[in-house]
Amino acid sequence: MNRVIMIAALGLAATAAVPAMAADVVDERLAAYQAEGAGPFDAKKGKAMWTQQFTHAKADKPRSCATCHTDDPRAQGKHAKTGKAIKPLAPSANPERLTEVREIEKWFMRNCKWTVGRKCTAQEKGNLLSYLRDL
Amino acid sequence: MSTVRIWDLPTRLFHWLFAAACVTAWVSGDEPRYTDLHLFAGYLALGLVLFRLVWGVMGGRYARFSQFVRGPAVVLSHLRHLFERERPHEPGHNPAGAVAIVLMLGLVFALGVTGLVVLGGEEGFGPLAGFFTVAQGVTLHGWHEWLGWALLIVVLLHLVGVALESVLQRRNLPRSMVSGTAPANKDEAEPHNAAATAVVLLLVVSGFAVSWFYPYLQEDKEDPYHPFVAGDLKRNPVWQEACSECHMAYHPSLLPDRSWQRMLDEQADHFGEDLFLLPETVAALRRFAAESAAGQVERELSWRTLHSLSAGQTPLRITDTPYWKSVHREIDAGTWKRPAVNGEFNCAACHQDAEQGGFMNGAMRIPE
Repeated sequence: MNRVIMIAALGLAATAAVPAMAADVVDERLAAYQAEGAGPFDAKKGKAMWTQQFTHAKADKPRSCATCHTDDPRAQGKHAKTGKAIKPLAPSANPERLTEVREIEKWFMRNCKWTVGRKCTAQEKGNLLSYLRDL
Repeated sequence: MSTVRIWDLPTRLFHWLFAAACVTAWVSGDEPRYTDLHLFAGYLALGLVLFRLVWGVMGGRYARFSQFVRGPAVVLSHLRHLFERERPHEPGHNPAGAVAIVLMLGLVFALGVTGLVVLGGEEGFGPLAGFFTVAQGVTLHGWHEWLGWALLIVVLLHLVGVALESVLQRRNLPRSMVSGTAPANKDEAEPHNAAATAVVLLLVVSGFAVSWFYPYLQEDKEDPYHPFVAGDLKRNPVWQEACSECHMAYHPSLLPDRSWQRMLDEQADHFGEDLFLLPETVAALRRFAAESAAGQVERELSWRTLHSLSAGQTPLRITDTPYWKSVHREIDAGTWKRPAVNGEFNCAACHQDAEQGGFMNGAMRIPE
């Protein structure tokens, strides 16, 4: 009996120790965007947006997600200005990615404004997350 | 006259070690990278002065101050009769040479003491750390440099004097300081070589050198030896994380508080980027800046940065401060463009302790 309780307790502890999975967090985000009226989400459109070149008032030359993250989200990127190494963004290459809602939304805010010159729409964010999750 | 010993072994050993220490200290003084070598040479020279003071009382016949230090009248008379054929026979130091010796010992002693104040005040290291402020260290740094120039002049006069006397007396003075012998009467000879004292001196100096430089033999590329690490610089996890998302986390002590507060006021346009920092993050960053900015901490680079700015200046870039510019003026454009350097904001390319906020002399290596 004691042994069973111990095994169960260990199992519970192990479950608690496992960090959030990117797939689950992305699903939660997609549901949230849907609640805002967006959807359905298309990974292909996300992929197209990844390399799409944007020009806006603050950009001296066209910018895209790939400017810093490279064409392949599974590769290591480099900050366009400071040269700081950026770890791969795709969860398949870096399981720590897309596991925290706060981080996802902060970087969408920061990087959409830099790249696109405005906030991204819920539809765009959903497409991009679908693309990154499926890589 | 015959060739007899006039300099005992400790006197000769002292002379050459002292010369080597002074030359090393002189050439390593301006290069922050070689501060460690400069300090070694400085400690060595200071220790040798103390040894020489003892030896000047307890040493051999011609090593004693009482034998060669003469009053001004004798020195002037010596100089007046310098080029005359008939001069009193002087087996040891001549009166003018004695003046140079006293000046060199005094100047090096003063250089050692001011050097220790600079080390303690500016860098927070050495036996005097904690006893002096950065401002006091900076003041004595000026004195230290003037004393260095004064020493250079006396050393040059000493060399001219040695060359002149060698020619005038037709005897090789530098060689005497190696062999210990010179032409003199037998009863003028130095009776003791004091080899045991010389061996002890050599062992102490060697031991000091080995203990000082041994860590360099242990270092490797992954784990370079830094003789100085910044003391207890405060770090802050929020600061560390927020800043290092896009670039190195520059320690707050690199700019005045007013610069950091303005930077956080303008976080929506941080060099062209909107940071979208949460209000609680901004508050934490403001607090850390307020307690660790230049002016809040006793650090040389903070003090110099602050003092290079006028009260109205609030630079947002560290590279805009006059102090930063002055210490980097010798880095040419090509160096900044090297892939391993990658621009002026990448402090850690050359300052191996930049991430910790150290920027200590001796932790600097410019990559190829």
